[in-house]
Amino acid sequence: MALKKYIAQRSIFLVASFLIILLLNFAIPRLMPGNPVDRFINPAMTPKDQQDILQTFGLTQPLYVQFWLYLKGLLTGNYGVSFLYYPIPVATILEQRIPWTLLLVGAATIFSTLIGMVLGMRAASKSGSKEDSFYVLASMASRSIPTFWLSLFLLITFGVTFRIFPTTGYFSTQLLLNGGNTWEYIQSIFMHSFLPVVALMAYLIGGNLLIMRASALSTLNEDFVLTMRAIGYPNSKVIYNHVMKNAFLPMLTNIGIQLGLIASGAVLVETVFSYPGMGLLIYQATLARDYPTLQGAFFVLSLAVLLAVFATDILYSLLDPRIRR
Amino acid sequence: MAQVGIHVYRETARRFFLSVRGTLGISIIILFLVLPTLQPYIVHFSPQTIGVGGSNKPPDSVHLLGTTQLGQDVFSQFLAGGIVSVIVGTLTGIFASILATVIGIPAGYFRGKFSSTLNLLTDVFLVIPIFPLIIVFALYLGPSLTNQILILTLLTWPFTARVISSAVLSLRERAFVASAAMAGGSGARIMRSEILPNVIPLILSNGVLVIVFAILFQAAIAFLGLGSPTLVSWGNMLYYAEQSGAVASGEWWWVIPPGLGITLLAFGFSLILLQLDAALSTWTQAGRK
Repeated sequence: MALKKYIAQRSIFLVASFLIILLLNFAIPRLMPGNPVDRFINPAMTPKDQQDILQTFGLTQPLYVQFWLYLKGLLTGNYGVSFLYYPIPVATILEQRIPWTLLLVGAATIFSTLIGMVLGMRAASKSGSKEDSFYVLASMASRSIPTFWLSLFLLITFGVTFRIFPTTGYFSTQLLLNGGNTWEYIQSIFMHSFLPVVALMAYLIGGNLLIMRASALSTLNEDFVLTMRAIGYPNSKVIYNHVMKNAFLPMLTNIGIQLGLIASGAVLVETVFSYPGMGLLIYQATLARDYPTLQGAFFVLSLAVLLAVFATDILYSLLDPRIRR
Repeated sequence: MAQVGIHVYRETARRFFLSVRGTLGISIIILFLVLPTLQPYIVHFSPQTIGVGGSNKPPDSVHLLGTTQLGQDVFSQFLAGGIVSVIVGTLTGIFASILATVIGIPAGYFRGKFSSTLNLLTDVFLVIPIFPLIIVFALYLGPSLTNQILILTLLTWPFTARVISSAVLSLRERAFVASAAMAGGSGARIMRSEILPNVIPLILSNGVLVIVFAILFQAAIAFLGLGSPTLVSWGNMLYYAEQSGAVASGEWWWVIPPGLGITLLAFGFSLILLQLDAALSTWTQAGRK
């Protein structure tokens, strides 16, 4: 019963946040100075022509009509036509870009969570020692490195100087031209995404380590740990079978919350590595004042993070009945 | 009564300044604050002057960190560039903390539509991918530093507000708040003199966290070419390095120093944060009595 109530409560939050994002997404391009279709209009055009262009993009109608069209478009997956890649529909561009960002973000999230968990657990089990304070300081340091600069550094070192990894794109263009088997594609995709994933992970590992450490420290202080140790369970068994499981829960919430940050990181990393995902698209669309693309990309990105946070909340409540109260 | 007396301030300050981490962190920040003033005495090239050396030259005894494509001295740019990060970071931290306090305390203290709306708003901000929003705002509002501080403040306060409002939620159930309410204190008075002193540790440590965020985001804005183009800042140095192809041709002397500067500065603030948390434990304990 309590679970249903909790899910209902989270669903209300989900819907409310969704509405706020919808509004923000609609309002931002319209509140800002300048006209969204300025790039199509030049002063040499007659006022009639300029008016026609505005009309084509539906910008002469009253705001509430525009809002209605915008809502209808988003819900039916029609995000309009890109200005930058005119006349390709935004939805088509998004379809091409989303998988690549999912690959980067997914790999970075999974590996940084695993590494952060193991190192955080280790730091907590040696709490107060030199090794522990090394882990804490190293996490702080890793969170101080600007993600885009780390990307530049990796690019110069392993891409340009040592030529181990390719420097742009998602897979080798030679494969496209000459064709290749599945294995060659997988290999090429792996090599192209390796450095971007490392750059994204560096920031995340530090945060995950600190959260795991704090969470494990408080679990280590609980009575059941003391009891198990008193009974004589081996230390490794206590830590890996029991403490780690309990300490994982806060990590789960964190995965959802940190997705917003990873999306931010993806913009920078993809820009540096010219990796054609959503992040690079957002950057390109911003520079080109491509409002339909920007709106579409921002909408999809926010929705994805929102749903992920919702999913981790629900998962958390299934794993830990205490928070449903 | 949760009195935060003068001894608590003194004890917190003592614990902070007598530590290696705290003093090291402060020193790093002061260093980057004074370097721009000292720069003309250290290097005799002005950071902006074009053609003081050859184009894209690696480090030598005259240009310790080599030159840019326009023949500017990289070392003098590095020395002069840090102050922008310190200023934008610190001011954003201060403004965001004030905003978060003003919104977060009532959001935790009052019950009803007002506080649930505030809480919803802060939660949504936590979920929205803020960097794309930062780019969009930066592009529209223009590249001035004031605008950057404004944008970063508007997008980072919810992080602190969320922490404050959930702390206030539990504080308001405590005896000293109830007794102040029974003594006839108004909501505003209780929030100011009973609740605020007890959330100051949270405001301070989250404020420093926002500073670190703001430093990294400011550099990123500049790197994407959305900052003031004429300003000497580490983010701008990296933008021009990327634009002129220094990255593609492996000119490390132009790319490595500004990034190390940002990292060192952000790490300095992180050290302060770490030591602040340790020093503020006196404060938190005083509040618990």
